Amino acid sequence: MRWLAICLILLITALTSMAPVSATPVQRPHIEAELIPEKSSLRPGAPLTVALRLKMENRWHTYWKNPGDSGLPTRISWTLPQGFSAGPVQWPAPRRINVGPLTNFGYEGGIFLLTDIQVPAGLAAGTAVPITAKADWLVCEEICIPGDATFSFMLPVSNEPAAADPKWAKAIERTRQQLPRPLEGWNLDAYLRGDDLVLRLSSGRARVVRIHNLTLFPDQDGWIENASPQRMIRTTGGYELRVASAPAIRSKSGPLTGLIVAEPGLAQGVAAAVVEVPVESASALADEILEQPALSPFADVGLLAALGLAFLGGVILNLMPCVFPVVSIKVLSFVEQARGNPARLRAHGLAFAAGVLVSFWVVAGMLLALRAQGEALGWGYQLQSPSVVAALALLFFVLALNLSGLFEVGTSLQSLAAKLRLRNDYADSALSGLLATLVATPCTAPFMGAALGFALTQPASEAMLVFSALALGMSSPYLLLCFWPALIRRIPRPGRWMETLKQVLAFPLFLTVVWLAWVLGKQAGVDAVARLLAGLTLIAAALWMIGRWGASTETGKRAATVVALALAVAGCVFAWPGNKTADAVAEEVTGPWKRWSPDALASARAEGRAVFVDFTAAWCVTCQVNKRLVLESDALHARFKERNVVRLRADWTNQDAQITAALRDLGRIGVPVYAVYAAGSKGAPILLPELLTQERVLRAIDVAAPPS
Amino acid sequence: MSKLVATFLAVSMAALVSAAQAAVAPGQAAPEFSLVDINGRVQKLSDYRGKYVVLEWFNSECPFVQKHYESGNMQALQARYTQKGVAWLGINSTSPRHSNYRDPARSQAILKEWKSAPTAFVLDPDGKVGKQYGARTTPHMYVIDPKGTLVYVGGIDDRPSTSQRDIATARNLVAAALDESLSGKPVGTPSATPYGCSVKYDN
Repeated sequence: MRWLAICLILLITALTSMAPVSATPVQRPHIEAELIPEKSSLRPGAPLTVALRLKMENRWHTYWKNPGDSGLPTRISWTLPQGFSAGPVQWPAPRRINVGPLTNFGYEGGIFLLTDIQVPAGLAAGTAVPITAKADWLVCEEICIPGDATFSFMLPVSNEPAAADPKWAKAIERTRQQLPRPLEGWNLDAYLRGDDLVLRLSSGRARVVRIHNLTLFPDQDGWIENASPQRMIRTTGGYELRVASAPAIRSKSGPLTGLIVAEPGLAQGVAAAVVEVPVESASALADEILEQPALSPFADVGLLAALGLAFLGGVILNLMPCVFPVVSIKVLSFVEQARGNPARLRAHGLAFAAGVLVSFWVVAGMLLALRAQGEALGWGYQLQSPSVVAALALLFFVLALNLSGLFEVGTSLQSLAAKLRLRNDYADSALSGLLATLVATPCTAPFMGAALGFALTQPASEAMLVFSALALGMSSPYLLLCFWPALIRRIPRPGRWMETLKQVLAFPLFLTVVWLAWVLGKQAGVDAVARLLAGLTLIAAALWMIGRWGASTETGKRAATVVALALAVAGCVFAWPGNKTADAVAEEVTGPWKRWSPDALASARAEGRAVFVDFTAAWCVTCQVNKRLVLESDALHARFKERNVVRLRADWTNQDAQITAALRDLGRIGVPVYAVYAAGSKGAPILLPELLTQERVLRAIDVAAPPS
Repeated sequence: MSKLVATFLAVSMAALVSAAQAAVAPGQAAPEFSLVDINGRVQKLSDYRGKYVVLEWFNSECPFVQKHYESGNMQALQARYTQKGVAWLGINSTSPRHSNYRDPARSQAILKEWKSAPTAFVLDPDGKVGKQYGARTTPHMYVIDPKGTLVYVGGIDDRPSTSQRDIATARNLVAAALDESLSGKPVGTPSATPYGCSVKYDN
């Protein structure tokens, strides 16, 4: 009995003294630590990964190899048998941890610090090998507590494949997958601009991968002001990261080494990349600084910002010349609806919004599907097809005739049950929404370019969100009117004036038809326009017959309907232009303007001249307004000439794969785009806003081609 | 009222900006300051013009500071160089709202317990001077020459750790800078990464 007690005491003493030297988790203030071999046995000659698992309490953190403004990196010192050697700690990408006005680089939650141990080849199977490591860390919240633990375990040597640690092998593998990798698919350069360290990431690919929260973690202290915010800017070919440099940066020799981290990743499955880049002084790159595309107002668009911009763009779309006629029609119908009950009015508003939403989804869905097929298409492509243009012209013509009072839709339906008419009304509202969308596409309003560009380079789900925001923005004024009918009451009571207004509103629609006919002429030539006009005349005759006899006697009505239908079909067939496009150049590239081509641009730049490129299309109203009011103005003409600026025009009226590709390189997917290349530089161009002012262009010329 | 808020905002913005952009470097003039020491006397940097001055950022609750005091390392440095005419100023920039804050009376008691004898020990409760110097750790050391130019900025030595055992093998960079300066030589290592706890500034 006494013997047993002694044994027990000895055993307990032995166990207690062994306690700090163990491979089981140890608890220390605010942290749990454990050393885990990935495999349960050693194979001669095969490296073994050992993980130090640190689990910090909530809000407590440990440090990366460069701890930032304060703190200490975690350290592991190994005691290994002869012939073994331990590699460096494989640090996972850290996070920025702000402590008051200071910033640390470290880890919160839990981490695995992996080390590879080289195992000698001549090891005899059946033996066992002791592995010992001492870990030192500093764990901090507001205050810091240093801690350490010594771990030791024996691993058997076996030639059999070793079993993986049942509990942690997966987490270790996940950690290994997420370790920083070499940077691929991007070119990186770095230089000092003033007090800023500037990293430039340019994409080697046609489509620039969208990233957010780009962050630099230098391996060593003294490169950057750790706490100052890191600002990412979208440039034409990639991104730029600006970080306040540390004073010590001037005394640094050798390249900057560290990590760059971005969300969702710099490449598929690569969240953090190892970089090594020489930092050039600003003077060496002075000429390139000039052309930083800081002038682009939509340089970097995150998802939320894109949604906001898209919504705003949608609202503005209502004021665009190609949408306004439809708006007019809707305003009239609202006045009419206001006589009904509010619930019905709201339902109409919702139906209209649903129509807009669905049609945007359809357009987006088509666009995404085409994008998936790798088609070189862009926004506004509907109008690159002459048949779509002709069909739209027909549609608007019919609507205009309706407004003029040539014929009435629905008079013959008046006898039908009220319920049916109600349903038709909703369908009509939804259809108006569809129509509004269709005609809105050529007007790439300000704010829309960046949001759309963003959408088309995003995963489908995000693109759909952006298009939805666009649709909601476009329908928001109607929804407002429908939900707060008080606003409608400010619109005058219905009366004779409505008929007058309706007829007046026909004229903008006729003008739209003229514009579409002109676009068709640019695309498919004067013959196509003549056919369209003849088709329109036939259709006008058909509608006139319906208006004249449609409400008369039963036989008269039937005869009129048959003839009218025949006429309408004939009109449509006649107006059909097919998809043949004219050889003629749609946009004038005469006079001082030369036709854009990649070669023309390259040769002008090779001569060291500044270049202004006008990406335009005949069907793009904004483009035409800019061209007439700004680009062709005498003041600009004189300035272009004085500064020897080459003027190139890229005409996207018809499909053109080269232009589509060039637009995409500039991060845009529609026209107008105005790109200004500085004289004697090789860098990316300045992009001007979509609505030009003379002043803005003059300023850009001053930057790109300074007075000599 | 709104004017007051605006002023407050502007001031706090300025404070933030200065915190982010401060940091001084060797070769630059050491910023002047005026702080009250734990005995109630006003201490100005310019009072020490003509002498070498050491600034030591301090927080008694920080394990890194404790390492250098419990080992006697810091007290030995203070004694050695104050005897040679160097002015040694301890500075504590801990915010009074932080649990590590020690008021003048407690600071006196701590210095006494540790037998620390700097020339003066000042408090910088609003962190203004700390941010002006870019002090980010405790300890963070600055050596200023008799003309008021910084000749050393950085850590106390080249072995970042909390272990007292490392002191023996570390190269003390403050001692090196002072020895070189006092013997008329240029400072070989004018800056080094500081290590320690973060300075507990007021947010």
